Amino acid sequence: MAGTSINWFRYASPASFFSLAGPLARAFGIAAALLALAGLWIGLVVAPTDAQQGEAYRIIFIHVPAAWMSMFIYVVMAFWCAMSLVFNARLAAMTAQALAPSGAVFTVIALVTGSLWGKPTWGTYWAWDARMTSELILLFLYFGFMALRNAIDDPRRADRACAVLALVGAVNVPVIYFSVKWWNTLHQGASVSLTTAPRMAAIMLAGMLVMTLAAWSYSIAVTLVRLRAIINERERGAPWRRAVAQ
Amino acid sequence: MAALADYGTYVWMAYGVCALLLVAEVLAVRARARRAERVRDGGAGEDVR
Repeated sequence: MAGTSINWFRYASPASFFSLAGPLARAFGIAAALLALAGLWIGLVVAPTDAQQGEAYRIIFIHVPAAWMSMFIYVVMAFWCAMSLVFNARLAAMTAQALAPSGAVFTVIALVTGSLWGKPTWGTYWAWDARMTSELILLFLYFGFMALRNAIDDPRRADRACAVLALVGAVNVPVIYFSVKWWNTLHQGASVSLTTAPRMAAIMLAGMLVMTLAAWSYSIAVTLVRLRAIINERERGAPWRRAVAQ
Repeated sequence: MAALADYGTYVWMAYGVCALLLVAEVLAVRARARRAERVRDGGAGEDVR
């Protein structure tokens, strides 16, 4: 067994991870495209009209995966920030740096599609309720993370400052998730939970989960391409990089 | 199943905005990757000692 085991710590080095990230990004990109096609087919063609919300409910096939991804990416980003602080690992900080723009994009998508869903169902684009406000704060946390990163010239100092900001901001994620339980919000409660049976038709749930997998694959692919670019930018003077270039 | 055109403005605006943002992100990432490839040997970079 010892002879066939993979030394995963080998990939904690930017030099080793760089060559692995390219093929992985391509594979996840293809998976994202195929899953998105399948999810859109289910969501826009196969799934029936909702009895209460009519056709407007079809926005959930992008809104819910985007909202989940906005929170999930932040948790992953905070995890890598913690790793970079604890182990002083450059690749962990670079990964967090690569995740932030994708997290911000999914947060914007969640907010915009949510307001476009809110207008026909609630009668308003926006309300300052706990779920929407905490999601907006998440967007500001992503913007703050990226702005702080760009404001500090020394990359290692920027890594540490951003890691602290991301870890402090992580407290907002459970607030977003549980806001519909803790407060009386205009936003409806969770239709899908790990602990209870889903309160929606199986085909609608299937479409939403396939779109979530597509969003997941897309995020991994884009993050890996961005991570390769960051490695190129930050390691351009490193001997291993010059060796690859020759 | 209703015709796709009957889904209404809000549904198509939501899907349109989503597609626009994702395409913009992909183009930005690809541009950054190309730029990083070009400059990778152009400077000292980070001190990686």
